Amino acid sequence: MDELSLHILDIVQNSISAKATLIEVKLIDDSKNDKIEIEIFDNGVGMDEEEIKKVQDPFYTTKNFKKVGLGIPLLKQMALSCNGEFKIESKKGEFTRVYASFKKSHPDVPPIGNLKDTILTIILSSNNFDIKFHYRKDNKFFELDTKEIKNILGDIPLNHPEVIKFFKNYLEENFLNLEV
Amino acid sequence: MKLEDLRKIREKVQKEIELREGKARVKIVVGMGTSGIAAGAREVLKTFLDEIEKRNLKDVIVTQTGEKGFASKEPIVVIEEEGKPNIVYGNVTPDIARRIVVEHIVNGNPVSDYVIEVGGK
Repeated sequence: MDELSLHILDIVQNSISAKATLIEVKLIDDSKNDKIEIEIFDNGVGMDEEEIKKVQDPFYTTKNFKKVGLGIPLLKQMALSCNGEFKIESKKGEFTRVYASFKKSHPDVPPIGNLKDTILTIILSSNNFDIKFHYRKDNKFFELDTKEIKNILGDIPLNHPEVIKFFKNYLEENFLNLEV
Repeated sequence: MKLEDLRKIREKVQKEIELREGKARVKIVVGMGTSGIAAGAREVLKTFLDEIEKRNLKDVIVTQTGEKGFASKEPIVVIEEEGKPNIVYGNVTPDIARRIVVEHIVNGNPVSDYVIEVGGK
């Protein structure tokens, strides 16, 4: 995967599979500290220590642990090869938190890529859970909470074509403000 | 554009939904597991959204699901249409997604070259 945004999408899919009702995504792009950080928290089924080990091992995950694919080992390998850190914390029945950081100036760090499309893709399926996005680029930030959106929309589904159209424009405008 | 603008959309959409009892004729489901994402599923999904908007297809919804178990044929797309068997497409690119919208969803002829299963979930 050649975009950090695709890694984010992938880890969020794990949270959805883990039946989370709340998912929090944090992406911090910090030039001053030469660091990019990704944190994904969910209140899904969680994992015990054995499972935490397994999801980080590329050879176990595909065969013995079907719920989670290769995504976690891929992200871990990417972070570690870019002078970053990788952490995964979880408690069975309670939560999972995945953290990855990258040295921003490392030549192997993939671009953040199309974060707008990642957010849009996640919003499409978020009728049954809430997701909070927090994206900070140096001193500018973008936040979105589907709980707030659902309060406004009432029983209109988030994947209604009119709603999607709105979000495309909304994300476009807000991301333009983050540039420069 | 503010989140508050969604209120207007809600009012507008609510009327439409009442008119056709809130049912979508067609549901497009894009597989979004790790292998699907790596193979370009997000771009395929975005293409469906763009085409539906462009053609103003009001009774088609797009959604996503996890791994479908066809890793070698990702991106996978399932078209669920009322009263018809589900059609599963494999190796879908943005170009094929556009063809699926025109040939299958609008004109009712599945794009047979890319169909990998009929009736699957």
